[in-house]
Amino acid sequence: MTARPWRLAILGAPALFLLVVFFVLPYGEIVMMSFRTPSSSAPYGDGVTLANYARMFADGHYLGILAETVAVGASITAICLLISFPIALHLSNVGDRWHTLFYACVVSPLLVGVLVRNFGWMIILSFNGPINQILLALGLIDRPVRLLFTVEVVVLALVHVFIPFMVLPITTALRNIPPSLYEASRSLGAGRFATFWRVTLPLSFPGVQSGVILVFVLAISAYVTPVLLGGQFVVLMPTVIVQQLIAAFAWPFGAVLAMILTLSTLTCVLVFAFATRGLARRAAIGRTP
Amino acid sequence: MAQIEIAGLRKAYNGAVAIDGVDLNVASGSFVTLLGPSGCGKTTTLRCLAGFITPDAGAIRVEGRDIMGLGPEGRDFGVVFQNYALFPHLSVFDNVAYGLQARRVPKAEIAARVAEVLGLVQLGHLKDRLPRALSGGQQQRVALARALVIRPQALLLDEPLANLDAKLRFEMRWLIRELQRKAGITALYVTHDQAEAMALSDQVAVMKQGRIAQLGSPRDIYQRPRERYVAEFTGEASYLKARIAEAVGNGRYRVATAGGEVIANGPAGLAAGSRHLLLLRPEALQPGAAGLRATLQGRFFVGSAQHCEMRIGDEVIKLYLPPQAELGEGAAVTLAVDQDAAWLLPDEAAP
Ligand SMILES: Nc1ncnc2c1ncn2[C@@H]1O[C@H](COP(=O)(O)OP(=O)(O)OP(=O)(O)O)[C@@H](O)[C@H]1O
Ligand SMILES: [Mg+2]
Repeated sequence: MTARPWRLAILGAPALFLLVVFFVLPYGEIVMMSFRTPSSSAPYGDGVTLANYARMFADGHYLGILAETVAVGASITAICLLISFPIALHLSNVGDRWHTLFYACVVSPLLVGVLVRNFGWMIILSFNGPINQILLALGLIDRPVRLLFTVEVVVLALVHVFIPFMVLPITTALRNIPPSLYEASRSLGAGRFATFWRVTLPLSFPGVQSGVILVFVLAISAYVTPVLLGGQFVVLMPTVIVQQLIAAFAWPFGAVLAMILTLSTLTCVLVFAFATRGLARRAAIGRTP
Repeated sequence: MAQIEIAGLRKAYNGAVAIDGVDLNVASGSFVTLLGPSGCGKTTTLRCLAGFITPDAGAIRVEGRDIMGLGPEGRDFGVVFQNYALFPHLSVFDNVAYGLQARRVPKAEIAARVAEVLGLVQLGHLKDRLPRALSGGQQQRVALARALVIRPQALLLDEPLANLDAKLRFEMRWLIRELQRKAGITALYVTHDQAEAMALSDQVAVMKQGRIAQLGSPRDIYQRPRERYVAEFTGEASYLKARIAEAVGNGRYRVATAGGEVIANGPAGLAAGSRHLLLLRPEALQPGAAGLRATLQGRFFVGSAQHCEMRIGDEVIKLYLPPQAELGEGAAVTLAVDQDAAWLLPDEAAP
């Protein structure tokens, strides 16, 4: 397999090029920027300093926002998982004829552009939008309530669009479980629930793990939805970072916030992967002879 | 340890009939094999019994009690699958303990029973391994242990040895038979390998297109098949057209063939003058003083014997000769027929 390294190099070259130009270089720039002094005439000054980091850690405000961002990301991930597992279970069971249809339903949130989707939410949730009218008509409320610009709505909208990222890996994992394992479990005296608990759930774990990591990373870094549906009532890290960069023109401090967000996300993912590594390794359905 | 009764079992998949009226009685503690070619409905029968699929019609009774209303978890059968179906995320110990945990057996007893059964299959030293770190034969033994440890009413085995190499298959055959005898457990075994079926079973049920063509002891189905299909499926066989000259005893007849008259066994009550097929197993024939007149058409040497084709009139039969026999092609031979290994079958082609 190691016979022709130059071939591999040629195959990998375009990807490597893109990675370097659009990922490694900008990231290097951000890392460097976070150690520079601010400047009013250029993105950053000439001096090298740790003051930006000191300011970040001294100010409880930013750490609070970071904590809230992680908490919101975690809730979105957890809700996504709870909703997606039954969907994946169903999707892994339907026959080939219906499979495509269900599949299309699951990925449908991704078929609508991010702006259109969020303006859709704004229309639905506005003061005289359909939700308020229905609630009024049912007599559940006396006058329209403010639904928009709450953290719940941001969570709802993000859960909606991230569900495919949770459903698809779990479905794949479930489809990889040989049906004879369910039969073996049942014939050994385990009922449906015990079989689900002891066979289905553990063996779907590789899919759950990918889904959780994917959704968490996406949720933490979401920008457009929190801005549009959360307004100034929901302030999360990506919003603050953009404010610092664009509005306050404080590029070095914005870079610090971006660094901290990235490192926090990375830490969360690594802790999660490490804590569940045993389960993931065992559940990986190997090549059985 | 239970007597199992299957009556009129029928199952069609989207209109395609897989089994069509299977009747079978498995005596308590006996080893019964379903033998038949691919697609004849062996697996379907077994899966109906295990409760994995619901038959369209028929009844299944264990010790006289109807079990059709029970799911697989209520039937108390130990199932061994062709692909073993071990839980890949559980160690050997946990795989074997699975059925006991599902039955809420106390922990200490689980440990003792698992250790005992792993000892029986000689896998005690591997109890902490994951299945993927075992060889095929070892996985098979774990599967067997997992099914035995729950002390089920019966063992159901679907081609459990099909994925093993020839030598291992031979060893496992004995292990299965020994464990089944020791536990005195009823076993229903599915295979398309006639040698396996004969070696293991008390009774063999030969299946043909969704039905049981014949149920009998291995000796019965080999020496006294009811139809040509059964004879063909249970071993090497040749046939000669035969007409019954007269009955010479109970179930014994003098028959006329193209090679002369011989004495053969058959079902009782065949009418003189009726046409039949004379089944000749290769080992039933030997060069002798009196018997069938034949010419040697071809032979090949296989080490322990020479496989020969003999021409009798326009029919060809097979026999085995000792390796040292010197016969040229075209030589005229007289073949003595062992009466007990020659058997009369209905001639399905005859009007
Ligand atoms: N799930 C299914 N859907 C449709 N047809 C099926 C299904 N399972 C089996 N059949 C059909 O039913 C018939 C009997 O199948 P079965 O699996 O019982 O055969 P078998 O005797 O076990 O064969 P083999 O020795 O190849 O395992 C076959 O014609 C097969 O094509
Ligand atoms: Mg089969």
